[in-house]
Amino acid sequence: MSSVKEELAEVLQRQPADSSSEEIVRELAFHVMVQRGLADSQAGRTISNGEMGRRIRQWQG
Amino acid sequence: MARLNWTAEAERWLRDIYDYIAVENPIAAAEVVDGIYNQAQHLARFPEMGHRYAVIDQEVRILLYGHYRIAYAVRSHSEIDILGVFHGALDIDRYLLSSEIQPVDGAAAWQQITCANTTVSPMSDLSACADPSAFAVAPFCRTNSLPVRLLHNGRSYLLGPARRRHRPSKDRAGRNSVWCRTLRQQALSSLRDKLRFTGRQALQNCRS
Repeated sequence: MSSVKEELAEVLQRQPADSSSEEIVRELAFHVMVQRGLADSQAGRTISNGEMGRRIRQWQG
Repeated sequence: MARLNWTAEAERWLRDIYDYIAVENPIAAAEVVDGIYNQAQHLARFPEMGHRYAVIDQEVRILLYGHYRIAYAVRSHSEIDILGVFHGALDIDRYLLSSEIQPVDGAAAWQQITCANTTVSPMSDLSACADPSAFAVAPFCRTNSLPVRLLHNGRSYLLGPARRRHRPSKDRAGRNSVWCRTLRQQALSSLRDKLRFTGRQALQNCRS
């Protein structure tokens, strides 16, 4: 399993050479989102698809 | 048919997307969130329709919906977890701050809220706070025209631009929201300082 540092370095390596700093930070942020989602998934912090749909309808009033 | 689940992270991002757009256009916000949700439904029949996110060893894939990236994990042929929904064009402010709470100068913030009572509504809820020094700003950092969330003693206050129509509103937990330009500017400044530090540190860590 890759370390966090290796994973982030991998994210950086995959960016085009002319990437802006904002684009790089954005990709790092995407990666962090995926990691957090995986942590939720592994810890069982999930809701069903139906429940998600119900909550969306609640937001919309 | 695979069963879809949504992680807490995915729900939070989806809700943020909704709130972000709804400040200006609630109808468009509903359409976008419905579109993302409906797009994800395809995964129940075609779990591998997204492209692989190769940075991670596990089977994580990305499904596109317009500019949005729906990240999901294929746990098995019958189980999919939606990990998050990302919009690449949004301000970077929100990304690195999303799960952290950044303290602000609560006393000053309190004073500004009090002074700005002609643009803050409703005051009664916020005035009940016994200890204004315990304010913190949560993940909700936005662009210049959008809200910041303020937490105090476990209660949440949504701070938005004063230029918007002055009306009481509710946050996602049904609590009263307030609108205050000066306080949200202070909060944004504090959060941006943190962002600069966090982003710089992340890049340095990767280079070293």
